[in-house]
Amino acid sequence: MSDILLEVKNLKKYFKTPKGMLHAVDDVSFTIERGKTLGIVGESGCGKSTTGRCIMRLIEPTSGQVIFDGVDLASLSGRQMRKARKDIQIIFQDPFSSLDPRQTVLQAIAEPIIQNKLIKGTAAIEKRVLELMETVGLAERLINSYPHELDGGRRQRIGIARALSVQPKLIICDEPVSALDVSIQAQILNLLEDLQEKLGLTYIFITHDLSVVNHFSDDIAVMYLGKMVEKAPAEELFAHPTHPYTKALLSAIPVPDLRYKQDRILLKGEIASPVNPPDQCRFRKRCYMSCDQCKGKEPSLVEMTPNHFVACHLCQIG
Amino acid sequence: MRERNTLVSRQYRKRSRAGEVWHRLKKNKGAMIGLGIIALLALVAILADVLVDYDTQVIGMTLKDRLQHPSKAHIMGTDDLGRDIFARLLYGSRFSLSVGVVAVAIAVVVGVILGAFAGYYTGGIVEDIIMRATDIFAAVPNMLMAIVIVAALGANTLNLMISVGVTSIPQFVRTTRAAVLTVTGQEYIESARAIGESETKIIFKHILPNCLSPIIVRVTLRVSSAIISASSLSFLGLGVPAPAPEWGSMLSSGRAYLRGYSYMTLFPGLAIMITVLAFNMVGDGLRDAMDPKLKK
Amino acid sequence: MENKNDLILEVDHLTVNYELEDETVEAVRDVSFQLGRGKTLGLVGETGAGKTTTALSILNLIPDPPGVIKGGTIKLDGDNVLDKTIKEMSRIRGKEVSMIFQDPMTSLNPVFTVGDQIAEAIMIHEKLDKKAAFEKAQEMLQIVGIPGERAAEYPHQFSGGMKQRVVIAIALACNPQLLIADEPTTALDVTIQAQVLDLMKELKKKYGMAMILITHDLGIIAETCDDVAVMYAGKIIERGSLEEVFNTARHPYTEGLFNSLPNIAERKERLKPIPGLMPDPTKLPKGCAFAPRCPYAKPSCIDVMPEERHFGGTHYCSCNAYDDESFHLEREDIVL
Repeated sequence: MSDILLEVKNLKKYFKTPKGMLHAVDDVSFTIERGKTLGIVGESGCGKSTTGRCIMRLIEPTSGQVIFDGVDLASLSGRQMRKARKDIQIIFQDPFSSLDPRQTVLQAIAEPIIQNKLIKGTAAIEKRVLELMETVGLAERLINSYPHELDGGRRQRIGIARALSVQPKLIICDEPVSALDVSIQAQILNLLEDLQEKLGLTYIFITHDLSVVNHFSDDIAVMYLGKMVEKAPAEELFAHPTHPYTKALLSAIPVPDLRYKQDRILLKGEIASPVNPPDQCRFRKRCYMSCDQCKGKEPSLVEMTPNHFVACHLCQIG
Repeated sequence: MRERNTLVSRQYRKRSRAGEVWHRLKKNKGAMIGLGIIALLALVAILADVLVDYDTQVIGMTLKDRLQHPSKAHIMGTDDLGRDIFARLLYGSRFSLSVGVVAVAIAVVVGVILGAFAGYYTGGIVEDIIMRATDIFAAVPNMLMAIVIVAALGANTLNLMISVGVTSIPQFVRTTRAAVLTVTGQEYIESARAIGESETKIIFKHILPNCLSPIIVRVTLRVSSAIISASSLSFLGLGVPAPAPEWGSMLSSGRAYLRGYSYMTLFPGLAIMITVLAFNMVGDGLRDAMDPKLKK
Repeated sequence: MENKNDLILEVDHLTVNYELEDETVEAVRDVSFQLGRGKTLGLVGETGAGKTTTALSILNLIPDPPGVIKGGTIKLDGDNVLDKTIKEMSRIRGKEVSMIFQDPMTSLNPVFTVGDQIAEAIMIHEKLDKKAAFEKAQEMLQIVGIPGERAAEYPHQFSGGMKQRVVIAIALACNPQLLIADEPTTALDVTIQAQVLDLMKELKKKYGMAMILITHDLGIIAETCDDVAVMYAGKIIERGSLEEVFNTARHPYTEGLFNSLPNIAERKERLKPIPGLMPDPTKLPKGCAFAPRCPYAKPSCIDVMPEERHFGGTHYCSCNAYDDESFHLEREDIVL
């Protein structure tokens, strides 16, 4: 029996816009095992954040199934879903806007506990908050501080403590470090890693920064314009990137090491519009390898080697 | 009780947010002067019955004393019916303040609720109806609208409050909607949803409290214009009926004697001006004190 | 050492404070560096390190109040910028020194076409009529990889990467000798960032201008710069050529930065972050500002301000630990 915590099947989210249907997430499927980390990588507008929010129904998916611990979340009523959210938490990108400026650290961390009636009694709740603060590395004296008095790293720690307070099974980390300075970034990444080990958490790690996911993930999924174009175990993906977009993305990362030289693949143009996309490979117009084959139907995700999935006509022909 | 004292959070007590706003407001001289004036006026309004006798001093006519220039006995002089202007001004603070406050209270309650709905349920028919109605309302000149309402309902203090209040609604709808829109887009609203809070709880616990600053500022500024509107209506004879000493109607009755007895209009005019100025100074001060951008 | 005439920019002992109502922020403290003609200097550091303030001083653009240049000289092509009048300064800005800001979304005026905005810069500094300037603007657009016809479009019709190209076109319109780029690609996606960096490198080579690149991303530095200066709490704590700083880092903070980066080239087991936080710029210690976070710090470091030491070549570093001659960092030097 495999220990699958989350299975997402054919998830779609379309937004109505004046110009037509915006395909933010288009037919995305994946599974995550308990205790593992899935990294979702892509550039702005690729649908990675929407995917994360659809999983916990902060955004209602257009169609598809989200099977979490054996329950299809998409079929739950609003009230049931609110209860189910306890098991899935999210850490946001911007520690400056993800905390209510009127709540102190104590109030912010206690709020989910009170909301879900996990602990009763002021003293007991405070004790738990202090525990959580210690877990995420916040000094006790900050308990009555307001977010605007703290720096980005500490605010992000509050966000993490808030997420941990309900003892979730899955945490969706939506660009949790991209707003932070390098030295603070490393502190937060290490904290998340320690927590995973200690509490057996499962992460979905959404980011635009491949070097961060490389460090962090077991599996990596690359998204482009609402589609998953490649998915593989992290080491496999970095060793054998297959989709032309993945290759370009990897080569575009500036590496702070003078020994590391590589040929850069420069992509032409910019991301196309996700409104009413034609039924063909969405990367075709920017692809440096495209051929006539690519003008045909949209390629589907195919398992090339064990556990390595790619959606590209060229790669599938070989 | 003992348990409460052992709470760790008690050891690190510090100024609350409101405390911080107050701290910054205290540094603003204009706002503090304004606040002092308002406090004094409020005190006078509450104690008006103790300070002066309504029947004899405020509305009682003593025709032999009519049109006296300021003197020791009547420091602001007397009016055309021999009433002491100072006594009438003191008593009149009741009308001006209460009309200003009640009118704005009406506008806040209606405006904030409508604005919150329009801001939270954007893009739907609710927003369309509320906002278009507001636009139409705001397109009619305030004074005209107030005159129509008073004319329809009849001239008395309550109707004056209602008419001034109703004309202030559009401003509050717009202010609230704009504030709600900004706050709703913040991630902490999503964060509240993520921990399982219901929509109603989110609106009342997270959205509205964070919209308070612009609304409070708007309230203080609006009270001053409400006082002016109320005085203007009374000046036109559509407000508080005579012989009540409303400042606007005092101004109006002094109009005929402007040449020889200008103090009859001077003092009520000054009273209105100072009150309005005080509210404006407090409003400006509050805006500065609450604006997070000015925070270091 | 390089010949003086080869230097486009010499900054000596620059000190800038922001004097607020009840406290003083020491934004730039005694900063000195040189930049040779046609060279690129990377200014690295975290938020609040004083990178942008240093750059703005070169254009004499520090917002005053609250900013006050307390001392030092900035010689641009041999002349001290800080002695210039406002009028002289405006002739230098745009013509001899240009600046690119981080956010392309807000650095273009939404009510003018991009062509007009480029032409404006040209008309101010070169005696060209409107038509000739607009033609030159179209040329500039082509140089940055945008079809000339699009000169008649408005900024909102361009995507983020395209807008940054337009900003670059404006900055380069008058062939400046020095370009200051403040986090030019931070707001852009990785693949677009690669395009823009590539373009900047190419243009720099073509026009032979010098560049100061401000960034927090060591990867970008590695790919674009000749020289590097690392800033921390208003001071340059280490500077030298790219190879010197990247391969033989000497300052504990520089080492800390390298250790805290997740590196795509080698998958580290665990990151080694720098503990603690940046010091409050209004309450800097008397000695080394990095001492409270420094793993090598001795108690005396808090009180003794380190002197800048020479480590051969163009490599300088300010750290007290080298008082002990046998001291070396844990990070091993990279020998190529």
